[in-house]
Order: sequence, then structure tokens, then C-alpha cells
Amino acid sequence: MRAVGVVVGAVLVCVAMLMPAGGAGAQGGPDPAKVGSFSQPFTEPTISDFAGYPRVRTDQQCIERPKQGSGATGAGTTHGFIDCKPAAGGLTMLPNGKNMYWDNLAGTENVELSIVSEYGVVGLNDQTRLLNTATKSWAEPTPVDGGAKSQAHIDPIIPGDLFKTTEDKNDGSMFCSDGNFLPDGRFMATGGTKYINDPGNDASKYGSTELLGIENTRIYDPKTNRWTQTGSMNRPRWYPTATTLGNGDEFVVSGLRRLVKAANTQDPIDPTAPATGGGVQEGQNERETETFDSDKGTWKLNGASARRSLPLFARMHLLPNGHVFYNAGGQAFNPLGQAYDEALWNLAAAYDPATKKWNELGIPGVGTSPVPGFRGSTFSVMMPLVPNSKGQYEHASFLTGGGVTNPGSPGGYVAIRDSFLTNLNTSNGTERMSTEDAGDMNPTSTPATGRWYGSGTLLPTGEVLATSGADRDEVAVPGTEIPVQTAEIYNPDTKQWKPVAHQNRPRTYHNTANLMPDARVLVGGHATISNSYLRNTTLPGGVTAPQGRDPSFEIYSPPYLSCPGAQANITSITGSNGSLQIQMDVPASQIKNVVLVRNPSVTHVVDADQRNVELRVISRSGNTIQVQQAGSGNVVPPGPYMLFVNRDVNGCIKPSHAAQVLAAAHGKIKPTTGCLARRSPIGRNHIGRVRLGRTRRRLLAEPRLARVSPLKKTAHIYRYCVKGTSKRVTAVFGSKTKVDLVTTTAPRHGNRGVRPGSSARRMARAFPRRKRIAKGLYRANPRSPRLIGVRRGRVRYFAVASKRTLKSKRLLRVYLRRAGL
Amino acid sequence: MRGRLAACALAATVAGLAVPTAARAHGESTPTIVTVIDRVSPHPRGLDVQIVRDKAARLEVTNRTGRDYEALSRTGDPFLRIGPRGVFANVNSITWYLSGNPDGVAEPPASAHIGARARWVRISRRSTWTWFDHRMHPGTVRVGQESIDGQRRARLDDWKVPGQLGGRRLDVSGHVEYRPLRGNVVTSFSGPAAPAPGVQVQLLPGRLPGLFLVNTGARPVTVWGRDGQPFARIGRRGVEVNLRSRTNVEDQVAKGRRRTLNVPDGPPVWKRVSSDGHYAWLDVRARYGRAAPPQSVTDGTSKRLLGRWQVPIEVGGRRIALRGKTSWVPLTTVAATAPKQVDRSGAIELGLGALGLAAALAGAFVLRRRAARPERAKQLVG
Repeated sequence: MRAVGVVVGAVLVCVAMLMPAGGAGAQGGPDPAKVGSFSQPFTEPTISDFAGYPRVRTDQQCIERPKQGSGATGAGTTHGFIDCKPAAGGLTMLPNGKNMYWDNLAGTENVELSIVSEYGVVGLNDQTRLLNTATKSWAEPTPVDGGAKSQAHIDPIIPGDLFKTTEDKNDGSMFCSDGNFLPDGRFMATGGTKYINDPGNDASKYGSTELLGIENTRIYDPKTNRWTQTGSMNRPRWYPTATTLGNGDEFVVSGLRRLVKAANTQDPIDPTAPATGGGVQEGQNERETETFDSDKGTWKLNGASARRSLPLFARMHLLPNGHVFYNAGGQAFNPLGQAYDEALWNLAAAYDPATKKWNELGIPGVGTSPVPGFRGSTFSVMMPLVPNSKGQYEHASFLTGGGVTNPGSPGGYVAIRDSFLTNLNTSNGTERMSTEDAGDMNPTSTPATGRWYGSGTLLPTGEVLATSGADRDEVAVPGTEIPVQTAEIYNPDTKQWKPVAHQNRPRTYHNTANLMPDARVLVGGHATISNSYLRNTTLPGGVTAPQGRDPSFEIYSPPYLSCPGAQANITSITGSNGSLQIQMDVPASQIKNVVLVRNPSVTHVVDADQRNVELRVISRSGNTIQVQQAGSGNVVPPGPYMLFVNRDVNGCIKPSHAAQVLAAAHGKIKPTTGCLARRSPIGRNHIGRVRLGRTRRRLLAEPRLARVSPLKKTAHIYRYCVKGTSKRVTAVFGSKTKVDLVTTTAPRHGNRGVRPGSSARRMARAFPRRKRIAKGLYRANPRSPRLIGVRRGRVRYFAVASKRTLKSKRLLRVYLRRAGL
Repeated sequence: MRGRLAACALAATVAGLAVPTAARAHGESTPTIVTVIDRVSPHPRGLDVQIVRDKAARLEVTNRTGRDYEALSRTGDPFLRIGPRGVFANVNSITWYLSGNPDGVAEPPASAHIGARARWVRISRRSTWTWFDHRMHPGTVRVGQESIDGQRRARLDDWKVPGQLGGRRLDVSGHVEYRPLRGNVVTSFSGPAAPAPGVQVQLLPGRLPGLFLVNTGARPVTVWGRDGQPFARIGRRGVEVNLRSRTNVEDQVAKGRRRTLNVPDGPPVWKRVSSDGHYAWLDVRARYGRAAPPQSVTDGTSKRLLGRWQVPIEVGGRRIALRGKTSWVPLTTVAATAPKQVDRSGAIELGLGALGLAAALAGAFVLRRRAARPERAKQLVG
């Protein structure tokens, strides 16, 4: 009878699988205005040079490298090794407009027999990448793996170094580190993984895999494209959560010292009971908390009162009162639980950095959710912080959706659909918690499917996009999970979820999603544990998730981009201490609200710093809207933000292109009146970063010009300031609305040692093939687009002009006049 | 589409016919395959033997007898010695190297071979060791269709690890069994959730459950421990615990704040631990006291009461019992009582089906790999 049930069940699911894949997006010809759309996936075109192997351009995700000497990837490699493109298991949006991502579980494809026997040797440090989505181009930071090498003391299973592996190619992986932005816009990765076989030995790749937490903290500087090390933590941590505090310091909780072989497997209350009722990890996670001083670059333990048992990658958020909220969620290696004190994870709590004490708030979801309390592998999204009429922020709300739970223990196997809101009132300095229902996720799916490990992305409009994940906990039985590919959006007004478009690629474990400055969402990642903890083997038929890693990305365009009218552009942000004047290219009367979105940094569906802060509108005039600064680092912690204005066109809310801004102390946004660089080369089609052929919108959205707003904008020109001088660069638009002429009068802009201010004689020596085309106007050579203006024996300006402009002296004269020359 | 059809047909076939008839019996990596110790013969006082659940089952021996315990390989040679001077490994034994990883694969040095003279190296100063003994991992096993249909336990294989204690023979024997995933032990709270004005109580579910008591009322709440002593006093303005309460000691040990379970004797000694009006503690009274419910319970298809628990509190001189239950809840009942959970009847069976398929594929792969492996590796595994 049971077998019949099994077969019928299998057939039913197969029928479901053969039906259209669910959601409006799968039913052929979905309306992007209603469900949005996913772009075609795109992937890095090359596999990087590594360990002496050359860079290879290929459409394949992986290639097989020939055996080289004793084996580049460790002892015992018998067939060379398989080298793959990194997948975005961690993803962050840098202030310079580029996305940085890092791989997860690199090297699993080289497991020949079992990941639990070999990964300590074949595992690799995960590589990092820079992705420019505008140009679909990639670059590599230096060093490419972040450069950490853990010196943490390890107590091996067998004392001494004889019976553990010691190779250094996987001693400081980015895998399982947490990422945050520092106040100056640099990016910090906290913790990570060191792989060894313990026991094992260097003569063999077989042993018993161990994943160790590391104490390293590394910092990436987007300006130099380099990783460097800063102070190490006092505790090694694998799966920690770091939260940026109101003063820009980092508060870190949880993490593990070692994952696989428990140092303490016995029941602490009844030592005679059978060992380890299920956990294979340590009996407890790291309970010590630490704080990183972002000025000094050092970590300090917070002491006994700040200790707390929390799940791995605990879901933490900074509250408007400066306390750090734990939202009863995290990673638990299900279904048997993990720590002896895991019952305490059901309690939401808030940590006060001033007193270094926790305030326990109760169990979220009681009374509103059928499965209250702890959630494993769920997302926890902080909903927009909205000011009251006085401009104060006294409420915070958190959306918990999907994940796994189980009545008997934290952690289950089958994904759940339930979502709920946890509301905190912080008006009198402490927190009062309440919860409310937020509806079922994936409400129309048949059969009803929950979402394990879904990414939750808060959009500028206050809606929440859920992407990726699976129908069950992959960690419990890897290889059997069925991907959830239908995205869905939560509407905070109706408190309901609605399925939207269908993702192109299945992305289950270690998927990521980030909001981009153009209000689209970059979706990537996927790195599985090897099937049944053996080796990467995808079950046939395309039903279960593909094993291995997916290096591709796809971009989701939400339905709001189909609202009528163009996306607004923010052309300048100026202001005084208390307020900001935001100038746009649309009437301020159309703006519904102004929102600061913290630059995202997500891994393991966690982004502790994620927040949208609505700024109170003071006034509207023409194309300028004046808003009040948040006035508190607890509301707007120091660091990079994207500033959006949401345009309301007949009730359809459309976010603008964001302006990249930086918050300083007390949440004060620095105005974006940046200038062009003091020194700039003059190329065939550009002066510095201002290029011929650009449209107005493109100039404003140009990531490299993100922090440079034109001083003057008219129908014909954009005029830019130049650092350290009162001289200007001017872009002149032609009749086709593109830049046809760029001029500069800045004294350090030039070629061949000739600059504005240089003598005409020097110019003549440097440009012997110059051609005079009008009085006081020369082309650098007869075919050059570069122009040099001379008056009274001195070079007055440089310019570059389009071919069309150069063909017509009249046009050129008009454009030069518009440029003020 | 054709590929999906084929896959579905294959999955349905495997789910119906093979679930989970074939599985690697490393045991703990497959939740339904469990390794059990039946007998330690003879079993002297001071020798503790147990199974440690890991990616594969491990055997753990703690020897406090004062004599050396030696584990013997398949060929009868000692490869591990656990005694009062610590743990020693015979680094010339192939079995020693194989015992280091769950899959029984290793590349020992040339000095290690069958018949080699023992060379002992101390590997630990403690008297306990845990190792992968592959006699407990009998390779691919089959679960009978009858057991699967009936969701009944089935004995799959017997194993024996020979050894000697102080020169006298001592064998550890056991078996591997199929133990279907049938349900959970669930702790529930019957109430009262608001036992007094301003007092609220919530259960914290977990392997070791806890209670969370909030007191915003005027009168303090005294919680009594399982030793009959007052354990905690929770008032609106703070919490005190009795350092000589067994429940407090157990709570502190479970929270990792204390190492030993020794409870100091004497009258209560109170220590203020919080200035808040609430407290969370882990309470042994609320958990099911055995490792697993009796088979007669787990064989059933309905929810069964396993036990009742109570935690007495006192408010304003009035004693009130916080009561709850531990129950066996079959998986089907769990699904039925959680309406917002996945409504996928047969999901567990399908999961097991997929697991069976994965295990079958993996097993086939492993066999193929082993067949293709060099002769030396074959010898090592054999």
C-alpha cells in the first residue's frame, strides 16, 4: 500500500513538473508590466589563470587542466584537475557601481569519491571578481582570493602535525565570511574557512574533511582594487554575522571554530546518554561577541554580559535606537538541530552596545504564525524605516519568509511558505515587539511549495522580491532538492505575495540577489554540496537542482520599470547639515518619496546592514525636492548608499536611477558635488570621463561619473567643475541629443606636455602636424578629432569633436560658442 | 520534455521499487540507516563504548579500567591501543590509516602492510578515542520491501569489532538497522500561558526545551527546580537565581556557562543575573527522558502521549504548575497539523525516493570507481 502511495506521489509530482513551471512568467508571453522579466543569463567569458595554468576563453563553466608536476591542486590529484568559473555565493554592490562577488565551495568538482574524504585537500580558496553590468565586463581584485591565510590555532584530532594536511591553497577561503561596508566605502570580509583533512596526511588526498573557522578580517578598497588584512578577531569564526553599528564599528556574533568533528559530542546534562543526539558539529556555536573599531582596525571582546548563543549566520539588524536586533533566524544544519542550547534561538533579542547587554523580547510569530519561533535558512528583511511627522524613526519592521522549521527542534527538512512581520517599537529607548501575518509565499503554486534559502531583496518601492531557493533543505540530503524558480513580490500594502516572472536558471544553495542603482536586481549564485555528501552528481531529468556551481547572472527588471514615463535621474545633491536639496530631471511634484538604500552585501541570504530609509520631505519646488537628513547614525549607519527618488505617475511608482552617496557620522549624507579629476588625458573621443556620443541620461548614469554632478545643465550643455581649479569641462549636445563636443580649460588637462596656459610656441613644437582650421583653432593633426584653441600666444582650451561636428565649420563655431569659448 | 518524461518514469520506478532498498550503510549519513551496539562481551566497569553519529558511524571507546584496550584489525593485528597512558596508534597497520576517514580510503606509507611489525605512536594523552571502524559499514545493504511497505525497522547486517583488554579477548558487536523516519518527539506547553496578572510564559522548543517567563506584574514569581529547591525569582525589576539549585546548574551547563554538573550543598544562595523582568532557561523536566520512544509507539500511525511534565511556580504565596506534554507525532500528523507547510502528500516518501535514487547512483558510481581503482587501493579497502 505504501509503495502504491509512493508511486502515485512520484507520478503526481512528475505531472506537476511537466506542467508549465508555475507563475505567470512561465506561461508563454507574460506581460512584463505585471510580472517583470529576467534577462538572459550571462557569464564571465574566461577561466582565470591559476597556479601556472593560462587564462582560457571558453563558454564552458569548467575545463579540465592537464596534470602538472605533483598536481597543482594538492597531493593525490590523479587526472590534473577541473578548473571552474566562480559563482556568486557572496555578492556586493560597490560604491563605484561595480559588483564584487566571491565563489563558494570552490573545488568540489575535483572530488572523485566523497566530499567528506577529500575536500580538505581538493577544496580551494574561493576567488573574487568584479563585474561591471553596464559593459558586461569582468576584472580581478588583487590578490584574487582575498589573501587571507589563517594562523588560528587548531587542536587536531590527532595531536601534532603528522596526521593533518598542511597545504596552503585553501587556508583562507572567503567561503562563509560575512561582508559589510566600512564608513569610507571600503568593504570588509569577516571570518571565512580553512580546509584541512583531520585526520589526514600530506601524502594522500584522502582523510576526513574538516572546515575550520578563521579569525582573519580582510578589507577590499575599490579605489586600489586590492585586498589587505586588518586586525584579526579574537575568535575564529565560520558563518559569523557582522552588523555595522551607528558609529561605523562592526559587531560580530556567532560562528564556529570547527564544523565537522565535534569537540564535544556528549549530552552535557546527561553524560551517560548516547553521544550526540544528532549534531555532528560542536555542541555550541561561538558565544563570545566582538566589536571592530573601524578607526583603529582592531577587534575587542565584549565580555561576559554580551555573550549569547545564536545560530550560524544569525539574522541581525541595527535598530533606530542603536541596539542590534536578533530576529530568531539563522542557519541550522537540519533536521536534527545543532547546539545543546538551540531552544534559546527561538527568542528574539536586542543587544545594547552601550551597556553590552541583551534584552530578550519573546518568540516572534506567536499568535500569528502556525510556525512561530526559530527559522532556519529564511530571509529576514528590514522593511523601510519611515519617519514620523517630527522626522524621528521609532518603528522597525522585519519580514521573515520561508525557510525550514520543525516542531521538535530548530531546523526541519521541508520548506515552509509562511511569512510574518515582526514589528518593534523603539520609541522610549527599549523595544516592544509584536507580530502580524504576512501571508503565504508562492500562494498559487500547485502543488503548494515553500521556499528554502530564498533571497529577499527590498526594492526602493518598499516591496520585497523573493528569488531562488528550493523546496527542501539541501543540506539534509544534498542532490534531492527541487529548485523554486518562480520569483514573487510581497506588497506591503496588501500584505500579500504575488508570483512574478520565472528565473532562467535554478539557483538553490548559496544563491544571491542585489538591488542595482538602476532599480533592477542582479540575481546570481548557486553552489551545491555534493550529492549525498559523495561527489557532484546531478540526478537525471532536470528535476532536481544541478550539482556544482553556476557562475552565471541574470538581471530581473521589476514590473515598476514598465510604469509610464522615464526613470528619473538625480542630477545633483546639495545641502546643509540638516537637509538635502535633490535636483532631478522630473518635476518634484511627481515624487512620492525619497529613499536611501544601503549598498547591499549579501551571502548565505544574509545582509545584516540591509536597510531602506525614507527621508522626510520638507518642500518641493520645480525639479528640486528638499528632504530632512535622518540625523542619526543608528538610522543611517556610516557607509555607502544609493539614493532613489520614487516617481508617482498615475499611481504607478517608478524608482529613479540612484545617485551613489556616502553617509558620514550621524547619518549625514555628503552632497554629491564632486568634480572631475585634476589631471585627465585627452583621448580621441573623451576628455577624462566625459565622452563623445553619450546621451544626457547616460552621462548621469555613468558609474564613473556617479559622484560628479554637472554644475550647470542647460538644453545644450552640461558643465563640470574640475578639482583644484575654477576652470571647467563642458559637454555640448548636438541635435541628436548626444555629446558632439567636449571642451576643457583646466590647466592640467592636455597632451604631449601641452595644456591650457602653455605657450603657442610649445604647442607648435609638440604638434608639428597641426592643421589650422580657423583663426586661433587647430586640429592636432589633419585627421585628429582633437582641437586646440589659441589666443594671444597661449593655449586657451582643448576640445574633442565628433566627425559630424568637424565636417561643418558652422556647427563647430556654434558648439564652441555654446561652450563659452 | 522527453528527457523529463524519461526522468519521471525512472524516478517513479525507483521511488516505488527501490526506496530505500539500497543505501550505503555508513549509517549516519543516511538518516534511516542506524548503527547500534548490541553487546560488549565481557563488559568490565570503566569501559564505555558508544556510537558517534557522523557522516559515517564512528565507534568511541573510553577506557578507565587501568588496563590497555586494543582494537584488532580484520587480520587480528592490533591497530589502536587505549589505556591509562593515553591512546597509541600502530602506524604500521593499514587499518589505522583506514580508520581516519568515513569512506575507508587511504594511501598509507609503504611501511604499513599486512604482517608488518607493530610500531606504536602516542596520539593522545586522554583515554578515549573515536574512529571509523569499517566493519560497521558493510557496503551496500538492501532493505526488504516488507519493511518499507510496513514502515518497520529491519535488521540489515551484523558487525563485530574484536579487541582485547589487558590481554583478554573483548568483542564489541552490534548491527545495522533500517529505522524509517516516522515522526518526532514534540514538547508542547499546555499552560497556563498567563498564570498570574502580568505574568506570561512561553515554551522554547529544542533538543533541550526551555521556558521564557515575563513578569510585568507587581509580585515576583518564584520558579521551583526539579530538586525541590527554589531555582529563580523573577520580578518586574530583575531576576535572581539560586546558585545551589540543580535546575540552575543544569541550565548553566547547557548554556555553556559552566562545565560540571556538581551541585553545591546548602541553603539557597541568590545571585542577581538580570535587571529585566524576564528570564529564559533550559529545563530538563520538559524534555523526553529517553533516547527514542519504544518501538511500539513509533510503529503506530497516530499521535501518542509519551509523558507529562510540570514546572511549579509560586506567585504571591500561591503555587501554580506550568504543565506540558511530550508526544510522539508521526510525520503524517505533522504535515496535517501545519496547514501552511508544504502540502505535498508523500513528500517524505518522494524525498526518500530521491535519496534512494541518489544512493543507488552513488553506490553504482562507487562500485565502478572501486572496480577501476589500482590493485593496491583494492587491497587496502579489502
